[in-house]
Amino acid sequence: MQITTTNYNGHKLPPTCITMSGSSTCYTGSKDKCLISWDIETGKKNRIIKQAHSDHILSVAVSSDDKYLASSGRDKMIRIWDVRSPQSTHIFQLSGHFKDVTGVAFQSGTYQLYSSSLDRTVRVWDASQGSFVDTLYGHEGEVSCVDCMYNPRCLTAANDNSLRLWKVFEESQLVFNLSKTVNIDCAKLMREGIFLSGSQDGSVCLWSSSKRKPLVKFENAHGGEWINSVGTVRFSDVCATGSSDGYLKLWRARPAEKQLDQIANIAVPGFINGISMSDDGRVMVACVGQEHRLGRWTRNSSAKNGIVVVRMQVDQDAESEEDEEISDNDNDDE
Amino acid sequence: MSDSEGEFDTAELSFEDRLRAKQNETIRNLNLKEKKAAKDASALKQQKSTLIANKADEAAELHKKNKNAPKEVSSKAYVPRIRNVTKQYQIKKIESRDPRFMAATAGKTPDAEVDGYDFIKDMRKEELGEFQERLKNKDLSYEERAEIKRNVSKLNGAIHRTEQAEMAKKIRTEFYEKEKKLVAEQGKTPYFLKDSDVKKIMKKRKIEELKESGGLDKYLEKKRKKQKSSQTSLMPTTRRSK
Repeated sequence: MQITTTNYNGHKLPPTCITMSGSSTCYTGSKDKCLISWDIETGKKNRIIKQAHSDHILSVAVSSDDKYLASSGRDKMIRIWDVRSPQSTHIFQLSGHFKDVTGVAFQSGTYQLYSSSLDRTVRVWDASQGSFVDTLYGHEGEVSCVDCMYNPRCLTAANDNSLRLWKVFEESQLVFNLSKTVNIDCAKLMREGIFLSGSQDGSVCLWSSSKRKPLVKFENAHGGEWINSVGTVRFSDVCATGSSDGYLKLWRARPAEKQLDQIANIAVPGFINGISMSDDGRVMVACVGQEHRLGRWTRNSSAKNGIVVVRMQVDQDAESEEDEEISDNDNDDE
Repeated sequence: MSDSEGEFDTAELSFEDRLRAKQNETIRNLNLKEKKAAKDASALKQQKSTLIANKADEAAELHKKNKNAPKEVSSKAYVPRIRNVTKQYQIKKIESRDPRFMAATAGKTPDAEVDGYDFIKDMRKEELGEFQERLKNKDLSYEERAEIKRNVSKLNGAIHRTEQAEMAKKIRTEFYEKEKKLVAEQGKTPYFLKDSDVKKIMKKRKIEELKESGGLDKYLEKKRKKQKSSQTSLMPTTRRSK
């Protein structure tokens, strides 16, 4: 497997979030309140929206048909943008959260939007109408991220050592607990019942929605540094984690065998604040900054604010390897 | 006449034979009916038992499935701002266990017979020694002396009790060791000792001990005397009037 990385600089202050739209564009939000839409092939900035929010932008999400972009930030607002229009017009401003909105996620195939906030709630919105749908209570600590796939079930992680899978229409939640007191900063769904989380004690956990404890807990994945971000290829077994130790790690998750193995270490200096992987598993984008996305505890001045595009080329000769990267499988030759 | 009566021509049979045949038929029919009833009953029972078994299986399966499953909670219940710290930090709540109020220790006094309380034996010996020392004092009043003697007899009683209890325990463990071996090797059905059995064994051992030490005759004489006196007390004192 060949891995090539290219860095593109941008943003005056560290970017905090990234989301990929198709395989050619990605959007980043940063502490300098700007939203930038990038062209992944060339590294060119298609559009820069300055003052997108009145405070740090903490999260971006794009709908599965690439029509709407949702951004949220420390100004407690969620903003919906129409990215098909040439000016990327701002359509709606969704207010309701009492505190900073840390995560937004679209339900694929719909315009239903989930948002997580430091006020311990998760809210459900309709982005096409700009309307509020529902509030989901349950988290006992500040919710740090939200993720959703095709089902109306969203995954959130919070500072109360728990991840919760919300069954929105059944008005219930499944609670998954970590045994240690730890803030879980990032979580992403891999398949409808398998998900990955990264926490501030440096451990990466692979979960199954049928077990209340993690299937695999990989401690000190990045040398004890906080896991800043997690990325997954949907419906596959490949995932990535990013931290501040200067490496972007690729993993293969095998939930049936309860294994999480590292497959690659990509050198990326700085704080990897966001990872987004394309659905075909060939491209991965990560936003890198000089500071952590949530605060300024330390600053890595040798790093550059911007994005990193990682292309993962599978050798054409080895046929089975190609299958490995995309499909979820039981047999592999490694 | 039913077909099942037989291949013979009934006119050839004697009256007795015919009667017997008829009786047999009714018996057979009865048996058939009974058999059918029994069969139905057993079928129902089986059905019921399989249902129950399935239910139990289902329940067990559900329990097994749900044992490791994540908790499913409502998402409409508002979470209060003040958190339960013990839950957050997984601090265990200290549950006090007072053996005076626990079912596990009901009826048991922590005496020298219970494991871990061997020190009581030494304490009793020490106390006995102390009491004996005090008794040597000649200036004790009658009441004081009586009280010390009472305490001494209490202690002696307690020591004797613990000795008996220990011996009984020992007897039981020895017996069950042997039994285990026999059960394992020869497939003997295990026998569990009664209290009376233990007493018998204790008595036997005491007699053997006395035989060795030579005090057996005296012991037996004492026993005989006591028994005699108890028997004489039960005898009538006055003559039955004639």
